[in-house]
Amino acid sequence: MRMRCGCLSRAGWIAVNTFVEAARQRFFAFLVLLGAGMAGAGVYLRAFDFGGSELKFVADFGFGGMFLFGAILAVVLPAQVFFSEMDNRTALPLLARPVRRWEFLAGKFFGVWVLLGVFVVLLGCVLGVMLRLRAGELAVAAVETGREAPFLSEWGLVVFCLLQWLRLGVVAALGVVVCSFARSFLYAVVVTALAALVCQLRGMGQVAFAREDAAGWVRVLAGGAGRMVPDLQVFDLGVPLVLQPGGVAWEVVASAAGHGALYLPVLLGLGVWFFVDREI
Amino acid sequence: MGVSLKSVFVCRAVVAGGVLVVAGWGLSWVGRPAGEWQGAHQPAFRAESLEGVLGQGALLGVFGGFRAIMADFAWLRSYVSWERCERAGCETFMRMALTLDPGNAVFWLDGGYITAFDMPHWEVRTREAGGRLKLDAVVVRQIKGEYARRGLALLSTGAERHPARAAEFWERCAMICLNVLKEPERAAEFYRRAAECENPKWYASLAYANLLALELGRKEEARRWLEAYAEKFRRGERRDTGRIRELLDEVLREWGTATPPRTVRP
Repeated sequence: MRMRCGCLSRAGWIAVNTFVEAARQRFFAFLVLLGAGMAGAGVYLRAFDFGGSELKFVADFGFGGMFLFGAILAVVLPAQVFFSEMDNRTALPLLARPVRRWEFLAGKFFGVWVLLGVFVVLLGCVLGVMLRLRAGELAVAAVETGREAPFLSEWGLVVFCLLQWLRLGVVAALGVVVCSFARSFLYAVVVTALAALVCQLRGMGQVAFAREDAAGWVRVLAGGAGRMVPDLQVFDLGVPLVLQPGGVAWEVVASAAGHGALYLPVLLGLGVWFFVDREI
Repeated sequence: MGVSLKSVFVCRAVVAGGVLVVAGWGLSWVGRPAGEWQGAHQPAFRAESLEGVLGQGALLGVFGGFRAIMADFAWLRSYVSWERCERAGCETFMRMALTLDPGNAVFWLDGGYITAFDMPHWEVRTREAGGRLKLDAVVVRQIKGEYARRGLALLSTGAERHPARAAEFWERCAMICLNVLKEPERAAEFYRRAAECENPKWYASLAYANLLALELGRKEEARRWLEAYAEKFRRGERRDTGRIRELLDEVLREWGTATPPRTVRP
């Protein structure tokens, strides 16, 4: 019991240090500002909207910013915190102590993941405020014109933010796997970004390659390859969750959450497996 | 030693791939409902719509949340092609906009109209500029008919996706049938749908009755239908936003039917 507590404590301390180290980077602050600016600017860019629902346009813009900048953070931060330890040789004395390699890796991952959570919460708050303000204005206008007021669910936004946090966690876990065997920061970032892209396009790829008119071996290959990576598109439930009453069933939300949550230990396990025998 | 390390890494990579495949198969049941939901609600994930956006597919996938603004830019690009009377560009970007954001009714409404009314003229002009001085009238009719059918298909799909605005779609379908296909019976049917669907266009009822009476010679049927329709306003089954009932009564009187002054809607 004491040993388990010790493991968690050591991993926890590494996570805390990783969190502080990553949060102090200007890169993080810059992307938070950029993402928040984008989430807030959606209201002022609605002139580009051609007749669709105004709230949907604003929300869509914010969701896009949340995932785009969040994904950049999730790709870059694990590599940055990992290779800063490697390049500065601080990993050597750390791992010479009674710190297991999985504790080191888990600490790095959870430190980054918590920071991604902070990012999602900040952007979610900005987006929520913008949506609530605009929905209020639209509701007043709707009463004046005798139309139906637009629907907005704050709880839906909370659930969506949790889903995005999981999604970014999966991307960060991919980054940890790549870092566990990569030899350079650039290689780790590029390979992780490509892996995230593949995960994002998995659903479309399976549809494109597994059509009925495709050759049998292509369909088998596409089916097998498609199963190898998590599907990040299943987390795209923002609009039905936030703007449509009963837009999506809870089992669909649970399915997406379960998909991400179960992939995390698999990916982290692979990362640890690559990392245990790595020469540092 | 270096070779040995490399071979160890390769072995590990192969095993890791195997683990991922097994994990993927094992976890597929968890993510299936979410994947199926995406397949059913996101047209970009349907095989029939993939071809139109495959080139832009990467963007679509990466910027998952930016679909609305990307669709708007695609629509702008489609408009540029429309101004230049370029069918291929207009249709491609139109389809892209529709695939990215099928929730925007304007794309469906304008897309259907452009397809039915404008594109056949561009097609005829292109073919005539390609060497033939003047296309045969039968060929022109065929081209117009083909594009009109495509426009109708687009509008019908739009009506299914936007039931609250179905009346606008059916009204436009009727216009296409009337002005391009020259099929008044079919146009009348679309006007009837526009008058009877959710959030109806009341004037579509007059258009329907007029077509029945004047174009198809079924005046008695038109009168009976219009009376029944006006009756719904009298009984308050339909919301009278203005003087709809009075206007319908006026038309019925013009047609020579004395509509009894029934109880006024509460």
